[in-house]
Amino acid sequence: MTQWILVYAIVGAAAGWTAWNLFLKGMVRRARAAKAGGPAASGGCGDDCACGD
Amino acid sequence: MSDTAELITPAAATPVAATPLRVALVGNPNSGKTAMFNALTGSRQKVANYAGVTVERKEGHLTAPDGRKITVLDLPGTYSLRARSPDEVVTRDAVLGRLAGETPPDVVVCVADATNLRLVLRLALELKAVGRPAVLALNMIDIAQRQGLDIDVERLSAELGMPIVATVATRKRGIEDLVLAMAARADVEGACQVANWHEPSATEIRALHRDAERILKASVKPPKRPDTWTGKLDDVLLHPVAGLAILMGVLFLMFQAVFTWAQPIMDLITAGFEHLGALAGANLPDGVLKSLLCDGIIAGVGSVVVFLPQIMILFLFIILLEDFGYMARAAFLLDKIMGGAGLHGRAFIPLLSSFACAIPGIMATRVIDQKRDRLTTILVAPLMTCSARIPIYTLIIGAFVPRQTVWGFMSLQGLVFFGLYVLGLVSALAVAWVVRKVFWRGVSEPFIMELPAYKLPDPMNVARSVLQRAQIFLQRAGTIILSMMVLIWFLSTVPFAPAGAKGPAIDYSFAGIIGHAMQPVLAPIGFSWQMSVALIPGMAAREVAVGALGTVYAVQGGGEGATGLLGASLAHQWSLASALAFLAWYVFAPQCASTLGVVKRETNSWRWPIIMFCYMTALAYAAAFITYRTALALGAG
Repeated sequence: MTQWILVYAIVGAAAGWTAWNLFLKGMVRRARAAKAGGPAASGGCGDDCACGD
Repeated sequence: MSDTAELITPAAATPVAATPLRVALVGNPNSGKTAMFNALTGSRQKVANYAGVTVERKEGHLTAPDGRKITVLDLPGTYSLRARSPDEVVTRDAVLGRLAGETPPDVVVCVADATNLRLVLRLALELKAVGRPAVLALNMIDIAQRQGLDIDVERLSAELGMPIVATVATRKRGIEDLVLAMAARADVEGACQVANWHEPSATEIRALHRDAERILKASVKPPKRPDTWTGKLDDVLLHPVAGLAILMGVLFLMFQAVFTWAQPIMDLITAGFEHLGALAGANLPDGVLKSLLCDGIIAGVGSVVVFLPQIMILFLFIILLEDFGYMARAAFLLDKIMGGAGLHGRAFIPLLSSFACAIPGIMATRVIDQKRDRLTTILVAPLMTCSARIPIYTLIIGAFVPRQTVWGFMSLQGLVFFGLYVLGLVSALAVAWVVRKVFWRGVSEPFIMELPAYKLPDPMNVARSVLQRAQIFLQRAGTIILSMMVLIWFLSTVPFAPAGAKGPAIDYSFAGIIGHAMQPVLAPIGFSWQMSVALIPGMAAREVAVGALGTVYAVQGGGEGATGLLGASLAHQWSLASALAFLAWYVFAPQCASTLGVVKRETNSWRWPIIMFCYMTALAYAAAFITYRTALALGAG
């Protein structure tokens, strides 16, 4: 039972982390940049970029 | 003007130490601006985008010897303030202080390639007209001296009305003097003409060009013995036949090296992950947690990280060739071929960048002015073989193509790998040709590109760039790929097989259910349901499919299919026809959500990413179908 709780916690964290990296991070940054009117921080080649270049 | 000497003395900069300073670097492309930025700021850099546009913004910080804080902004390269592309607009607006969200610079540093002053002098004259305090960094002065160029710095400084500092950015020579000159220049009260600035007309640009020619003649004496190195090398490297043969040879060597040099390190990494898996397996009690760690995380991430040496070698070649000055020659050589396919000559750079990743490649299409040329390049850029395909190609080739030499010296695996790259390139050209002929008939703009002088790459800069790529790959493996592997393990494990079930456990999992649902569509191209499962996470990033296969087969095999054995496991369970169809699929398939997202952003429309997704999926399905059926007919089933 303890193992299952741990596994579900890890899987839940992984799901959240994946959603954050693939969709939410870019949306939040774009919204912040639009609000501030300043440069949008990104990994380099764009907010939607997962390659980090 | 004779302010050069006084401006670069330390004494001139000391009284104003407390005021922070903003400096903008401006210059022609290939003038060593980025090397200058690196030399000034070291690792204290931040890469971002300008608000509202997808132009890269690089900012760094340094502290002057007097303690003054200096912020340096590396602006996109330009030949003129008469901006024609989004990059040039950013540079112009930043210099003029009109860029939203940006503080106007206190000083503009115009970075000049000392060996090629003609075009930068015109830009410097344009900057002078703006009236913002400016300094000219006479970069690559060592090469100019070696070539025998005699530059009258004082005369040049007087003509341009700005101090000049001789630098060699790659060796950090002259950087301290430049910092002092920047600080001193900021305190000079100048007559800033920003408010009165207007975009120069074509006539004014021609007048500025004539003025630049006059200054050049007056202050630069050509070498007594002309530089024959570049000329001699270009005679061979730009030769229509020999040049192309050498280019093909260079690319071929690059792909051979990816396979042969990387192997020992890859073996070490594989052994390391196997050892880690065994260690975790021995110390954890049997159960679901052990399965998650061994089969999900270690096997999944290990099967992606193992490709790090190959990615580093590929980037080592790309960076070396770029720094040596060969990339521009390669673009020149390929212009005719590109033009034949209806692509603009400048499209070579975005397409070449797409060998690393389609996203910077698509963003690099901003160098193409004509909208139709740009859209064509964007549409075909993802067909170039990006580095994310390497793990998949390597896995399948390693598993199905025998490790043997052909014609006595060539690795057969390297040859197939090279063939896949050529297939990607040829299909990109073919699609571009169709797009231009069917949809957009018209004449392309002529290709004008400056060929930089050859120079030896700086080992530190090369090492830094390669390590940056490695870091990016590892960050990705450690974050997004790791979390994806956990999710795939979950999909491949839960729900458990019911008591008394006869089939493999994964058959009863969510992944099995999805894979089985997709199989009727993918069966005609030879895909098993496990292969179908791997395509789903592969949409996040192509190489994730490898980790997914690692996880799916490790789970199915009860841990036997760990990292190092994935290839062997696939060779045992897939037919050769299916493996070749899988390769064909990955040459064409739009398996990258990030690329589609960037296309949407660059074109400001969902129309183009949808068109891209549809045509690439159709091509992938057709290619996999033809490959599979042909292989079956030839007895490779």
